[in-house]
Amino acid sequence: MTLTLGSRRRLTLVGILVIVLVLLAWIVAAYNSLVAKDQGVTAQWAQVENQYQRKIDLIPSLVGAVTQYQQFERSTLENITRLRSQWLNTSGIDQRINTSQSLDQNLFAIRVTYENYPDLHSDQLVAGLMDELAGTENRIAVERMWYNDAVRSYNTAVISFPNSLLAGSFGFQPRKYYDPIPGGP
Amino acid sequence: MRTLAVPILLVFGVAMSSFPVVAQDLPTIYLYVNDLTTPGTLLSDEFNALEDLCYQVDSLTSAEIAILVVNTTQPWGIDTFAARTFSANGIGKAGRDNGVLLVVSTDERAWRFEVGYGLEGILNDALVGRIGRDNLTPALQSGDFFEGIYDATYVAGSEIVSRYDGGSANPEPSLLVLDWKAVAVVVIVFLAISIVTRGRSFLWIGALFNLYRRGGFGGGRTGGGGARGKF
Repeated sequence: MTLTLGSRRRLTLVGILVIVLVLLAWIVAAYNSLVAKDQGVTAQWAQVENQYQRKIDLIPSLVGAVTQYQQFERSTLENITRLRSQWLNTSGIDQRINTSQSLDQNLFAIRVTYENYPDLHSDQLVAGLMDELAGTENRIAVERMWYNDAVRSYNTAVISFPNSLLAGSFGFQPRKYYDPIPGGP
Repeated sequence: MRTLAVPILLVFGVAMSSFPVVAQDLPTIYLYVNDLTTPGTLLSDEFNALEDLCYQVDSLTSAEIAILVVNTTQPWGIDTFAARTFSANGIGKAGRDNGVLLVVSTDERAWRFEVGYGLEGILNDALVGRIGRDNLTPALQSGDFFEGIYDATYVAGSEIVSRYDGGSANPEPSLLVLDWKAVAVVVIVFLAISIVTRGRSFLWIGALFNLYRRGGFGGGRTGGGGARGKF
């Protein structure tokens, strides 16, 4: 067959073949990298929820340890316990976020009380639990930050050219950032 | 055709390379101990003593302790600054995530221990909070930065040495970590350009690439564990 073709036509054929191969390789690489980034976002959100759970798990020992002190308001502690079971009994993400926000207000009140009474600081158990509480808040903040970083990396990959051509046809949509104050730019 | 090949290659190379999302103004650190304050906070023999301490922990357990003294952590605030600096420099060994970063900010008079995922079980928040309050804060309050940092690092380091099992044999700690992928890419591009230009090699091409992956650390990650305090 090659004998019947001129060398010009053979070159053209090889050229087309190379271009098709390069295109195919690009599609496979770009698709796989989008999938990896998409999975990264999902995994990172699981990590955020994981840290929420850690906070919820911390509450019984925290409430148990501070109940003996008069400085903490009864109603705050009761609210915390109630909101914790509310959190455990709901499963919708929006409800959980709402509950979590009320919970945060009450936990914040506990921290303020703790800061205002230095004589409480001598109790090593309470001091340790306050550290754990602050650490858990920070963990949630950090994991949310990594989540938004993952979303940014994924969204940039989906939107930027030439990946956008591929992302559209394979159904990759930009994902939502964690945005505590909706209505920004 | 050949004259066009080099500019096209360069344009594509620049267009396809992904720029790091957050990199500006976060310190890149190469040593265990980093005093970025002006005027300096640590004397040279104090620096050496701390460096020695961190080296011992690394060679005994493979855990990496990094110490960073800065004037300010603005605009991030110490929590975000610590987590971002930790992650950008990859403190701790990759896969084991066994790094600790101690940030002391002299203007804000604040400290923070940032603990990598792999050490959270040993250096839990309550423990590093206590180390900070007992060993760090009092000395920092009286202005003795070295004593506070040394004591806190010593206590945290001893805790790691006595309770952490780094797993398989620990290679000799090295402060120079080359990113071999980057090296390979540079070599290939260099060879390709040499061939295309028939030996008129572009010696400056290496400078376009950052051959160093990060500081001397191994690629550990953090999830925000640790504690902070004021002095």
